[in-house]
Amino acid sequence: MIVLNINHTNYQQLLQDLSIVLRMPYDNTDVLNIGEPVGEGFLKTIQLFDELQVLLANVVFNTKLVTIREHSDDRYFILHFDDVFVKDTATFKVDDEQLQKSNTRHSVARLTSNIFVNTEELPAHLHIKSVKILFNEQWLKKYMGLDAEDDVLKKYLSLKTESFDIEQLDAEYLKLMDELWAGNGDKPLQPIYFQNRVALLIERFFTNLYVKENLLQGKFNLSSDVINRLIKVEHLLVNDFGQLPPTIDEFSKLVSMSSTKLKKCFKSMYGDSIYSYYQKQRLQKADELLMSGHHTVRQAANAVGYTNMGNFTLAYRKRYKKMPGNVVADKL
Amino acid sequence: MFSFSYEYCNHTDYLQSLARYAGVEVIDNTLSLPPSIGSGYIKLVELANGLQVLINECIIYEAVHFYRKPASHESYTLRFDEVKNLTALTMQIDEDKLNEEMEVYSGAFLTNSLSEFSYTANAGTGDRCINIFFTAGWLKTHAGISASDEAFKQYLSLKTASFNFEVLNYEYRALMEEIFEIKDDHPMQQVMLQNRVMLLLEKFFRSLYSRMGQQHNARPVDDNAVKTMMHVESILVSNLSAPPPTIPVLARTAMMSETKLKNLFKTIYGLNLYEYYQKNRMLKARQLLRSKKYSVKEAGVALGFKNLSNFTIAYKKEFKSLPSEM
Repeated sequence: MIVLNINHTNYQQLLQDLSIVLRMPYDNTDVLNIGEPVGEGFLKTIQLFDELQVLLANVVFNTKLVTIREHSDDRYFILHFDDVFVKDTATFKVDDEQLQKSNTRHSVARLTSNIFVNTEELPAHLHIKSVKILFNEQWLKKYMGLDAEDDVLKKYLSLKTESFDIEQLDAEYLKLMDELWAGNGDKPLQPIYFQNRVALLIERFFTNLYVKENLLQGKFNLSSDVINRLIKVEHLLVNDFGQLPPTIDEFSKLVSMSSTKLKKCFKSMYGDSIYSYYQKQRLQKADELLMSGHHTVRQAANAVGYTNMGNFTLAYRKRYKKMPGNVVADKL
Repeated sequence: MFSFSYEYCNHTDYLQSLARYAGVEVIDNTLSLPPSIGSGYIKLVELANGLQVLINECIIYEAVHFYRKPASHESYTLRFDEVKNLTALTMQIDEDKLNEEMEVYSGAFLTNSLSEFSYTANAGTGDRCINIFFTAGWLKTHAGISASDEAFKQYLSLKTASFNFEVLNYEYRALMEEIFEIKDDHPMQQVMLQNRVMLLLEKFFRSLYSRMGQQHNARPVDDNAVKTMMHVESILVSNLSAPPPTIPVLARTAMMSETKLKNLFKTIYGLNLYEYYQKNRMLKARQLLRSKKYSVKEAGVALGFKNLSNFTIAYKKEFKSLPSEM
């Protein structure tokens, strides 16, 4: 297990700390390459013109990784864009609040602040793709015109871990992230290229935050008890795709909520109806299995609860616009 | 004739002196044209990253003549214009003169303060313009672009010949459209504006670098051809809810063979005529859906789709997501 305590706001320093803990050579101040036996991939920092710091990661660690961002006095914020398929269990903590994610795709944008201690525990062998953007209060004021004490921000941050699923990464986010990975070849325009993509990620997050402000409020009005019950429902729903999930009526008995209320609350919390959430998650899981190259189409289909290959192929093709057989063939 | 001459300066001073000349006051950084001169506004925005941007949408009733004297300090102006109802346009940078009889002009160009610059346009022209002011120092520290780069210097030395280098295609247009549509009371208004201005800047310089890089081996397109293509483009995108004009019709308007038209268009706008039309249509669709004032069905109908699934398929092809997911 690797444990990293972070009490500063410098991503170059972070790479250096990490290189010491991992015993990986670190000679370029902006890139830390990860190789065996530690894992595979890289972490890269980009310093932008307006004092923004960005950390790009595309990496797999062979051991469990725990990062603890300590509380500090000078206020800063980190905007996380994570696209991770969690195989075992990942744990996110904000102060004493805890959120666990198991066997699900964690593909969200979230904002954290060091007014709280933030801890992340990521299991071994997780493919981590993430973009993190670090800025301070002054930046927020100057570029976003937002006070750290602003309503929308306070409301969001006070949700702690509950806010973590509010903003799912959609095609537009993922496209911008991919563009950051891809970089662009021509040297003179590299900086403005990164700058603009990062700026668009930030813009999209905050614009959506304003749109969801009302929702945020609505959700905040849900008692934490209701939220816990919804989390339980989500767990049961995606816990084991091999078995049929409980019906909505069963769920509603299980968490003692009327089915209308359950459906409504689930949708506002997870952004999808119960069935469409279930369907998305299990196809994603199937996709992950196929991409791993260790499963045949039939195995993947069975693992996510399809007994009829035709139905599986149809559903998969509808979502990913490719045939599952081709994915397997490409991997061989 | 509305004739205004001034010394090159930053946008704040420029707007003040223009207002004085027109006999109006600048209110909230905005100059509203008096009815005696025209209609519309010129608005100054100072962005958080230090850029000054002038945004204007106006129609001027009289013929206009603007003359800019050179300054002793070097700085730059990058402007993106969409000018309509033209009959004649004259632009001059130092001794280089461009005299054109054209109906539309939509292009981007960069000038530096050390040059003399003037332009003349006929009465009744309508101009939508994004005009960005920056210094070499700003460009270096905020965009990482050095004004001493070969491509940069080469471009400026081309003077009026450089006007024709950058026509506004659908990507520029979409960005400009987005800028004009930002609502004043949106909490993210400044950020949205800054990001789009930066994207315009990035796109302009990307294109400048690639053109300057390959200049000697690329076959230059002559001024007239560029002018004609601007005209064709404006017809092509003028009505996105009707089927596009056919290639034979466009060829007749442009007075050239269909093959020549197709090749030239592709050279200048990077896409063939139909792809270009379709791309504009899809961008328009996205804009309508974003505004939240149109349902998927209404947006499809507004863009002339009789069959809604064709609309969905086309949209999905362009943006990799469904219109309903907007």
